[in-house]
Amino acid sequence: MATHPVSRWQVPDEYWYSSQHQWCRIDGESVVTGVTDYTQEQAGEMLYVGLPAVGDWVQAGQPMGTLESGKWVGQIYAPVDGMVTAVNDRLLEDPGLLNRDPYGQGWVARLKPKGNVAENLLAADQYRAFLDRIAEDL
Amino acid sequence: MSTEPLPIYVLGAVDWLTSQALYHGLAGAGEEGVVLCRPSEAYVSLGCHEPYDDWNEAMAVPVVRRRVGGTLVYLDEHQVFYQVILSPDRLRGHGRPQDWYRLALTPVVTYLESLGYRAELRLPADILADGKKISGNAGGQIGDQMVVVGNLLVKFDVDRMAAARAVPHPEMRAVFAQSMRRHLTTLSERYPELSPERVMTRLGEVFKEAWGGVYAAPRWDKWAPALDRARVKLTSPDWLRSMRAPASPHRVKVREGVYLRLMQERDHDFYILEQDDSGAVLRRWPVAPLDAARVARIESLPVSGLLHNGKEQ
Repeated sequence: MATHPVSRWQVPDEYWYSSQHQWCRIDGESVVTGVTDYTQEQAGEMLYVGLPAVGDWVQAGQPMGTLESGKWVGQIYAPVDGMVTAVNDRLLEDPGLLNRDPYGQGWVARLKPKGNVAENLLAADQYRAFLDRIAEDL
Repeated sequence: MSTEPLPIYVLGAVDWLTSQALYHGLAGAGEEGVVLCRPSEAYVSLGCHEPYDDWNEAMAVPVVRRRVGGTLVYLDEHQVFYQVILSPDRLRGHGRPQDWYRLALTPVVTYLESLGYRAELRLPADILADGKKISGNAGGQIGDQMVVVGNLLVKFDVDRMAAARAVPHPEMRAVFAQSMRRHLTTLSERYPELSPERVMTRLGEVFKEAWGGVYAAPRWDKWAPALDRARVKLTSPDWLRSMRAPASPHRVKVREGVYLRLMQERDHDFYILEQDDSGAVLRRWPVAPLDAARVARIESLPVSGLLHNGKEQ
């Protein structure tokens, strides 16, 4: 039995989460999204970020961007279906924002969602339990 | 968890673009395996996020942008490629990229040790033999698969590698070649008769022993659609020029932990510094002044403190 491994990673209560470790914050009719503390901690120091373009249509569970740390390129997945209405260009100059403030200044994109946002996402408690199961495998 | 034996494909020489399309295509199609091959022609491969301007277009060889990390590399028929493509199911207990690198590259280290080298993995992804780089590696997630790829240097033309890299000062190309000669080695330096095919064969045996893999014949017909898609994608002009990462023309990587930087001091003295990760200076070369337009692109960091504090030789 794991000894409460979720204490390793921040999981703010007010956000929604995907099983691919993206977070969502509902902001009026938009959704702001980024990568979770788990992702940034596992990846290590971020060196580059590849962002979607404003106007791109993204599909839940499909890659919409990339991140690179230690010569490793990982994917940033769209948490919901929708259109990209803004991206965080600051990440291009300062990818370390993903490490330092993944739920704040390290946001990745703002989306105009199509359909019910929370339908296939996890609430914070559910995501913590999901991380518990992952931590048991590590 | 996948329990199928991992297929090992020893392919020998393939055309330059196929040597990149293989791991992109197989991973994208959900295949697993270890691919061993070498390109039959020289080319340049840009890192996934690398600025296109890092590449010296005057060098008349093909160019590709890969979907794994790292920086520009010059690749040719004297390098043996190993491409490890694994399902995440096989990676339980290996949570971080550095764990995946260690898993995928340990057989390569084992092979070098069998040749009598003091071999080590220098994180994140260099392999050193007797303290010198002998292999470059990178990785990433392609489709659902985890991919680690690398090249073992049987021979290496440092002048061609230096020519492939755009440099901020005309003298940096010669310095880059000189620095690579100090920090890189090749199998042929110790074993002049060792052929890429022999290396590939032995490497296949080591991967097979390490992971209980099985030799498999390439399934070119089945792979063809995925390889064709990868060939088109990796060389499309939009993809080649797609990255918006800030250019870093003042800094050139020699190997993990060793970099060259062009610096200016007191508005008129220019140096190329060879530095380690901590910023300590390993060597320095005074170089000719640059014109004003080029100077504008150089960091204005003064070098005097670095020179006094570093391990200058």
